[in-house]
Amino acid sequence: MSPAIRTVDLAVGYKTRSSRNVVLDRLNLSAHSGELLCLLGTNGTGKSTLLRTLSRIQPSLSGRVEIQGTDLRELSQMELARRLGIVLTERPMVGALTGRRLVELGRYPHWDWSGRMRPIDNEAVDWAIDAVGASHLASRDNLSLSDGERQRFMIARALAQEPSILLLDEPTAFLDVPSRVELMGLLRRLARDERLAIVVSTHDLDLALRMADTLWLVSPGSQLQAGTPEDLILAGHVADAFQAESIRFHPEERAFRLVTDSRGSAIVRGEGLNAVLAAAVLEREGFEIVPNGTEALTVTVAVGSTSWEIDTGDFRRSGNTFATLAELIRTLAANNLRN
Amino acid sequence: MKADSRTAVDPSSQHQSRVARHRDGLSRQSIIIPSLVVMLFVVFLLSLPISSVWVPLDRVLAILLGYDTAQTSAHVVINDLRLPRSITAMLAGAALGIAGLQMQTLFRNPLADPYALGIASGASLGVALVLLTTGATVSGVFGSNLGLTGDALVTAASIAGAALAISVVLVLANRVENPATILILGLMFGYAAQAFVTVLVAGADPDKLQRWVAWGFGSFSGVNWSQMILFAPLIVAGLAISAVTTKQLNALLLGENYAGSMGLNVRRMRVLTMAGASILGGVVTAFCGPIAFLGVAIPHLCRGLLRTSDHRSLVPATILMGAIVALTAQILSLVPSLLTGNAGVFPLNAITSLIGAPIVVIVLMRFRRGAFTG
Repeated sequence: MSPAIRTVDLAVGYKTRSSRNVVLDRLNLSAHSGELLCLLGTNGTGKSTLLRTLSRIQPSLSGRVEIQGTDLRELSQMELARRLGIVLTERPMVGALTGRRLVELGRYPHWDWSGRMRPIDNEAVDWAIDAVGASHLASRDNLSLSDGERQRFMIARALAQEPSILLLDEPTAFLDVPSRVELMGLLRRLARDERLAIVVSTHDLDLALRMADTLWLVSPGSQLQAGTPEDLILAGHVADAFQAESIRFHPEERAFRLVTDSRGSAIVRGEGLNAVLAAAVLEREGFEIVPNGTEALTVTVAVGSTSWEIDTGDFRRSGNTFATLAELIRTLAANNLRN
Repeated sequence: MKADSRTAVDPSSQHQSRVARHRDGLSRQSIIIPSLVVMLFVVFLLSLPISSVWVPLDRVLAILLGYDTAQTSAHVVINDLRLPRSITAMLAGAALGIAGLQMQTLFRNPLADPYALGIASGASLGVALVLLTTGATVSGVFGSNLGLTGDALVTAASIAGAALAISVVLVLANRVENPATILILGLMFGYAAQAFVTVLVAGADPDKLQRWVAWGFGSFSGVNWSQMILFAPLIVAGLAISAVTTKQLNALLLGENYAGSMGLNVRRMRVLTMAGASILGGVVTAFCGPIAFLGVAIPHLCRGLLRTSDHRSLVPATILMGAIVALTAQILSLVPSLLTGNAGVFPLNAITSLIGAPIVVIVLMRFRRGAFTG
């Protein structure tokens, strides 16, 4: 079976009369049915350009894109719309249009000339709205919905086209954290249940690393690495993609952390959430957490269920809240703890 | 996932969605569209007796239905003056409303209309070129001396001017993102066209100037039966384009990128819509003069009434509403003749501006988050 999307030596970018600005080139990518792909990269690395090229909003500079084995350029507008749905970063503000009417627009490639809703169209719209979990909002004007809710209807509209591929350009931007997690979970479920190939561009590294089956990772220097998140982490590609002087990628935590001047190392004794949070306080103040029994340590913090106790070697203090712990550590740091 | 489990355990949600399918808009539409038809019929009948010569409504009906065939002055007034005038008003109102609706959707701008985008200015330039440089006139009441050829010439020049305006604006509109900029481009084109018109006016002789000024007041009285042969088919053709492209207009609601992604051939639709709007705006401007504000106001009246942006309802409603408002404006312009008993009228343009301007202000006040809100 041919992949849902395949690119062959694709180059994307912008062409003006006098110059050719290649943003990404030599792309040989594929996306398969049932797969959630996340396109990750810093701003200006060409994520949108790639998605716009894959959906034929802009032409490729060279190479080709195959949609289910057919060259993108050979598909009619209608054929393309029945294979590929998109959700763009532009957020059209159309009032006096209910969520349901918005989704009905997605039936365009299936309508006859009159654009009348047949039973089959209504079923497809019902299914699409159910699939994004928004049935209870369908009769509301789309402008009265929250950003996250409206985004669900925009996705349902693309689903109503009954495509095999969904491309979404930063669908989680402007959404609050619960909505982001919900939306990515929804996309993942759609990919699995409906056998869609879904490509999502995002800035949300944490979510992408957790949710994506495959990452398309754009590094500075126009390199695109494709692979399973864990493989890319192991190969150091994730760390490379977001290189900056002040941050460092911690593979075990699958997250970036600010690089701060080390104030020393600390041992945290204790169990459960309280110990984890105490370690977080110490890390924020510039301490490296080291395992129990390490030599040459600076402070030891013992955490109980309701209190903490700190031992710097010079003195001991204790307290009940993380605020007092943080305050004490800042004072110690200001007094030049290391000497 | 919170939302997912919510859907899974709530059996009523699917039902709600199905209910929404039926409740949404359709019931409003099924009341409002027939009401508009009735209103149009009433206003149409009212428009016939009123003028300097009062013809009682029963006589009007008798004449219309062919019972009264006596060649009285009332017969002539109704058949040859008022009937074509009312039909012209209805067609012109529908035409301007539809052109406005098409422009608002195509440019995704609630203030777009044949005026804002320079269509009327371009058409005026075309008309001015013919009116002020040749002997042609537009209307029977002004005393045509080139006959139907002159009308055709003025009409063609008007459509050409409108098409030129909209092409210039659209070419420039492809290079700018901001809808407000596009409107300003249209206004600039309007000023440029107006500058040419001013040059023509400055060089025109007083007789031709008189015709130009009268044309500028706007009038539905300029189309007699022989001119109707040109006027009506062109307007109906323009309206037909909008009527068969409602689903395409709906797709354009979300902008050209989304419309394309849903299968619309955007380039072809854009050309077709602009051609339609140019014909509608150009023909009305040629025969009736520049009629202000109807184009921008009528689609908003319909959106507000129907509470939908769906063109399957908006197109028929706009045609009906345009006809109703234009006929009403026509009746109101006759108030001086009713009061004084002589042939005095208010300039039509003044009436349509007084009706339309407040509607535009209301639209602006309700213009939130860059959205059309009915």
